[in-house]
Amino acid sequence: MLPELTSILYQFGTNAAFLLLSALGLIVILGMMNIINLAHGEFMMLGAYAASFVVHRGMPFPLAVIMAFFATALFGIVLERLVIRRFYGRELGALVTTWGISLILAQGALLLFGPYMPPIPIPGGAVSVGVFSFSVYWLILIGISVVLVAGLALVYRATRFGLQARATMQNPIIARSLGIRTGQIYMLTFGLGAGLAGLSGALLAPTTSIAPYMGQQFVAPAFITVVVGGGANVIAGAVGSSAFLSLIETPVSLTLGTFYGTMALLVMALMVIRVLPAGISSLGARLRPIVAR
Amino acid sequence: MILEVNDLRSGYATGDVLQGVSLALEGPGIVGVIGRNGMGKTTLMRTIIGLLPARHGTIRLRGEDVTRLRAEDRARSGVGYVPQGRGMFAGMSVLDNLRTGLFINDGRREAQFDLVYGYFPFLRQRAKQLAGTLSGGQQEMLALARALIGGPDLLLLDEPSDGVQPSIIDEIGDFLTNLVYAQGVAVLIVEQNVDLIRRVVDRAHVLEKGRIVATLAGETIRDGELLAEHLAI
Ligand SMILES: Nc1ncnc2c1ncn2[C@@H]1O[C@H](COP(=O)(O)OP(=O)(O)OP(=O)(O)O)[C@@H](O)[C@H]1O
Ligand SMILES: [Mg+2]
Repeated sequence: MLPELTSILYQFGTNAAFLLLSALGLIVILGMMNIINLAHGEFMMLGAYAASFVVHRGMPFPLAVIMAFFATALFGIVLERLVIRRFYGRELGALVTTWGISLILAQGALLLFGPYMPPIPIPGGAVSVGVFSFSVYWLILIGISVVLVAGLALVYRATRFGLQARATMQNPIIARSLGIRTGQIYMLTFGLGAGLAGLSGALLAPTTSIAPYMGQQFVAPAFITVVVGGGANVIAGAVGSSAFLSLIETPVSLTLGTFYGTMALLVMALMVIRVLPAGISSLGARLRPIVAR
Repeated sequence: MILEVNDLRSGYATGDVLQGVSLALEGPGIVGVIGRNGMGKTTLMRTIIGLLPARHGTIRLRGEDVTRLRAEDRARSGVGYVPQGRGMFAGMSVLDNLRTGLFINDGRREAQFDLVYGYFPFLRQRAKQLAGTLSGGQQEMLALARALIGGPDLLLLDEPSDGVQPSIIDEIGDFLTNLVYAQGVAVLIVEQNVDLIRRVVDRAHVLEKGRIVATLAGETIRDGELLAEHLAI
């Protein structure tokens, strides 16, 4: 019984961690700047490329992951200064622009590096409980997602940047009139979102093949997680939605296979959006008055 | 000279609202801007803080020309702005709202938490409450405290009595007179409430169709009927 339970928990954890890692960078940019970043998958690809590039030149994988964060963050900041900032307040413009950027990045990667980058072997081995064996690396990824979410919540709750970013998100005009340099906040937020996408791309790189269009596989789950999570509290929403979605996906995948697991994910996402158009995080706001009564 | 506005013009896509406004705040004290609805009072305040660009004329803070400076940089040079309608960050706590005022003056002064808690003790008790759940009067006081906490030299207040019950308007009036006396702050206040104007201002400029058409001071400002005339439709 215990091994089975561990196995189910492990599956649940890996599914949730995959959704969360895929979505984090997207969530920061969407939640804080109201920009739908269609280049999110390509930012993840950049992170994976950066990691693969340095790992095969002798850098230890953990360092490569950190380097991938800073490299994509820097790339995001440059992109924000040159292009994105011209489209604030014009959501459709930003959408088309990031789509264009995604095409350029994927094509550029293909031209520069060819159809494949050398893969990164999965670090760590496996542990077994009963007849089941679990990948140590996925266990680490589950831990890292927890740390990332906690760290992000801390940054937004407890730092000067977080305070300014929340104020900017609520009302940029009032924020400016109080001396908050919203331009810098947007730049850093976009950099943070891009950096997180790159970090996730590097972290997930060993689990997949590293190719120009690898970003695609993360984009759909990322958007589903974000939409189901909603915007009332983006970080809590993402945690809630990735937990909820994997709660549905896991048993279906285990019994019927991964294809039906993904189908279940999509169907659940549609149902949640139908019932709670503002996402899971709006539950908090809805419940508060009821609890207070 | 704390604030000097000279021949200011600004407005919207529909045309100029301000048609050449000049005024000055020499030092600590309270100067009023009064006028009927739609005369350009809010436009004037937004142009002084920098949320609307000046199309003509100059704005000087302590002698320095800030006409081309962005709003955030003007605020950082020591201007606290309380917009009409209060501009709360409704989804943030009372304490976080206060903290967003700390960048005024670019952190050159200590955060004046004790000062604002002294004036408005409820802010300490309700520190964790969401600002959007406060009453209108409490929100106004939070907006005043937020503009004050960073230690500005100049406060720009746009109709602080708007949507506030009379007893709290009196409280705000006492707060303002005390503030000028104790802290040496200069205040430019837009108001339509006759009682509040009579209580607090040293002089008042009457704004009509984007121009200053009269300035009331001394005896005339205590004359409620004259004031009401300038505010009536
Ligand atoms: N965003 C805007 N776009 C176009 N016109 C505007 C805008 N805001 C205000 N106006 C116009 O500019 C004029 C002055 O408006 P303003 O808000 O400065 O008046 P006010 O004196 O503050 O009025 P109130 O007492 O109602 O607050 C009005 O005719 C108003 O309709
Ligand atoms: Mg107004």
